[in-house]
Formats: sequence, C-alpha cells, structure tokens
Amino acid sequence: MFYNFNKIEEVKIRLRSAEGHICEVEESAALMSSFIRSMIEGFNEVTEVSLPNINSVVIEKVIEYMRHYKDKDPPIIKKPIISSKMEENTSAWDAGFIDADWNMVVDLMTAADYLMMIPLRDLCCAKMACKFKGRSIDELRAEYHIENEFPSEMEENLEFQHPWRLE
Amino acid sequence: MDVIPEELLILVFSYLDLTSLSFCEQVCKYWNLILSSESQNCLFQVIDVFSTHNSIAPPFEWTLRKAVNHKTKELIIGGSNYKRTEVILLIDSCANSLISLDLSFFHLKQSFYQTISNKNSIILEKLTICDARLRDECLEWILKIGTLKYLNVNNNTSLVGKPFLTCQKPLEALWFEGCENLEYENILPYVTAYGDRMDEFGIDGENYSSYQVCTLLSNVLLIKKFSIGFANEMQDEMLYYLIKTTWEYLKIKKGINLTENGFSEIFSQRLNNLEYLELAECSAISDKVCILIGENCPNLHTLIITWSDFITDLGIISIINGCESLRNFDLTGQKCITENAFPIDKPYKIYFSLLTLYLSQCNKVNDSRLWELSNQYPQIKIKNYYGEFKEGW
Repeated sequence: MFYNFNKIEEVKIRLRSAEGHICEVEESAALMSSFIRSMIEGFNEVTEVSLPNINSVVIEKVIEYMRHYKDKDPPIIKKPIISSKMEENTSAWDAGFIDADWNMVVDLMTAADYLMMIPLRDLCCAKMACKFKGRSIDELRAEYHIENEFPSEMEENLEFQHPWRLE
Repeated sequence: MDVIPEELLILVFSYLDLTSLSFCEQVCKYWNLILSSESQNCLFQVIDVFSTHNSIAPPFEWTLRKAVNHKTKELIIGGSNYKRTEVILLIDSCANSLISLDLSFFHLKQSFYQTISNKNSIILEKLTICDARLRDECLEWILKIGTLKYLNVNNNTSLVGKPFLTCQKPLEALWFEGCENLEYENILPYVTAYGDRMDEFGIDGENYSSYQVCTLLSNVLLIKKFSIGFANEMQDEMLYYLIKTTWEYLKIKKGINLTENGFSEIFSQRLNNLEYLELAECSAISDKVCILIGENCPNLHTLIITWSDFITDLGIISIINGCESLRNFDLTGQKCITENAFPIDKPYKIYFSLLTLYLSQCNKVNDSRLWELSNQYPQIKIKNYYGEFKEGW
C-alpha cells in the first residue's frame, strides 16, 4: 500500500458561532481545545461543532491562536507577573495577539474557558492582571466604572485596615 | 465587573503580587468578597512579601491576617521591611501550615530557631536563610527540624559547620555559597554519609583545595544542581566529576585554572535538562566550548558567560542558533565579540524568547546594531558597553 501523504487533505472542523456563521479550522489545530477534542472523539465523524455562546469575531481570534500553536507549546507565564506591560511577561507573539480591548479580552477568556484551552485562558487572565497591576484604588474604580459601594463607615474601617492607602 | 465569573477572576488575581491584591480588595464589594473571604482560596497559598517588583510591601497586619486565614504554605519575607518582632509573630502564627519559608536578611536569635524546631506540628520542608549572619548555634536547631529537606544558608560567613558532625538527617539540598568559613572537616562526614541522597549542592570554593572539592563531589554523584563560587584553586580534575547528562543548574565562578579541554568534556554530551548555566570569570571558555553549548544545551533559560578572553562572534552565533529558548543572556566583559555576533538577517528563534541581553564592558560591540535589534524585538532589555538600557544610549 502506498499513500501519497501530500494528496490527503486534512479534515476541517466547522465551528458554528452564536450568529450561525461557520468558521473552518484544520482538525489538528482544533484539537487544542479539549472541548472540541471530546466532541470529535466522543461522536465519530463529527465535523461540525456548535458554539452558541461564542460570537464569530471571538471564534476567528481563537482559530488564529490554534493555528499558531498547532505544533508547539505556548510559553508559560510566571506568577506573579513582573510588569504591567505584557511584552515583559510573555513572548512577543503572545503579547501582540492579546493586545485587544477590554471586552474582547473578557470574551476571549470566557470562550477559552468554555473551550477548555488552558494556555489561552491563562494568557487572557495574565493580560487582565496587567491592567490591574500597579493601579491605585481610585484609578481602578474610574477605569472600570465602579462606584464606591462601601458605606462611609466601612470605608473608614478599610482605611484603618489599610493605613498606607493614603500615602 | 460582574460579568467575569468568580473562578476566572480568582485566576486573574493569581497573577498579581500582594500589593496589587491589597488594592484590588478595596475596589468594590464583589472583589472584596473574593479577596477577603475567610475560605481558603489559592491566592494566598504563597505569600511573597519580598518580590523585587514590589516597591512597597503591604502592611504587616494585612499579611498576617491573610497568612493565618488562608493557611499559607509558602512564605517569602526575606528582605522585606517588616520588623524583626513582626517576622517572629508572623511565622509563629502560621508555622503549622508552612512548607517553605524564606527568611533571608533577618538576623534572628538562637531562641527563635529553638522555638520553631521544638514545635511538634511543624511540617516545614524548605528553609532559605541567606545573608542572615547565621551562627552554628542556630544551625544546630535548624537541623533538628524533623521534616526539613531543603536548606539554603548562602552567604552566612559566620558558619563553621560544627552541627553537621552530629547531624543524622538526610537532606535533599544543601546550599553553602559564600560561606567562606565553613570547614571541610565539618561537612565531609555528613556528605560522605548522606550525599547519595542529595539533589542539589552548592559550596564556596575559596578555602578548599581542588582535591577536597573532588572528594565532596565523589560523594554526591546524583546531584542535578551544583554551584561553586570562587573556584580559584580548582583544577580540571574537578570538571571530570561534573561530566554527566542530568544537570539542571550549573554554576562555576572564577574558575581561572580550568582549561578549555576540561569544559569541552562537560559540554560534549547532550544536556537536555540544563536550564541555568553560569560560567562567570572562567577565562578559558572559548569558541569551541560555546559551539558545544549551542549544540548540546537546547533548553537553556539563563546563560551567563562573563570575562573570558577568547570568545569571538563565532562562538556567540552558534549559541544564538542553538539555544532557542534562552531568556537571559549575560556576556559582560567579552572583549573580542563585535555587533556581528547578533545577526539580524533572519528571525532567529532566540530573539523571540530573549528578555535580557547584557553586554556591559563589551568594548567592540557597536550601539547601532543593538539599536536595530531592540527596535525589531522590543521585549529584549539590552545593556550596552556602559551598562545602560536603551533609554540612556
């Protein structure tokens, strides 16, 4: 038996997004997601996976990540992160990939969690941590539109517990 | 903020240092609930007060509360600005949950170590006390801690090592770097008896002869991490004891009498596990040794080769080609290398993983190439001849 491996085309997995769009990805890349892997292995010859809670922009982003790390291991980000700049915490590619706005990072993080892609989820978590690192309480509240929910006496209590916060 | 589920938010927080966490705790009720809950979560299993990236440590009371509430397993307070009495209180309060403790720079009395050692419920396995003016009396109590496996007492110059004569407790790791008064006769019987169980061993070579170090090494054949500072007296015979493939960490400082042939023997074999390699002030390191390192040490994270006389661009290029996952590269004092050692004609993999590149006192390296390199790969922090980062060029 002789096979010409070049001629065998790789199986594509079709991912159906929340809007009903179909995004195609090579099976070998899609297997990075333990969720998709279990779907494929659980049901023979499944080539379409429905992802009703992930929109197609996020799916495209996930596929970009899958293709990049198809044949290699993503770098591990050390805890705690050393800087509020992502480039100093991980590889240049990862930092560039995750350089997105807040909502995108949140969506990507929940999607990675759902798809069970731990390296991608951790990358998103680290990116968020970068946004928190080195910020004062007021800066954090302003940035994420959080009102001061603590009643004044509790605030005083907190100040008592954290006397250095006024410094 | 409520859109992020709790378990994911905890994961985000797990990437933050203590000071940032203590701020986050005060931002809103949801965060406060997660961060100040009494239930044990993974966030405070490790409390690292001394992190080089922290300018201010959180207040002592806060740290104490977290350590006690969350049954902290690993406590790193060495080098923090806490008072001595606070440190004692902190350790005393969470001693029963601690597995790893770093007390470096705190000069604590014998009675403190006696109390720790006498606690019945202690489960401490790893103890680091560097630069703490530790004396033999304290060491005696430390060695009585029943569960101890790892001991690092680097840079305690008052240690002579007498307690090891009577110690019958096998340790997996012993670090004595910079303990220049540690006597050979005091540690030899211990190393002879228990050396075959050790994984890590670090000594200061200043007052030892090459023969003595070889004798010690012949007893610790299974170690994976080894360090010798001030290897002035060492001859090539020592290097022959280092020929094996299982190294993870290797540091030889000031090996001025060691030769090219000796080093070549070590690096002629595949060293897949080696992650940290430091050959500081070993003048005989040559291009040949560098080529072997490039060929045989593919997984290095840190490589430090300083003040050697013969390395040229050829040697560095073979490292650039071979050590693809290198993060820290220190070449301080290499007089023969030029900027051509760092080619930018193609995207070498090393440039994507590299975070620091130190070229202080490399007088033939031209800044213009470093400038180009730095623009192409902005995550690399490069030090030029004057030891300045890019901002100063």
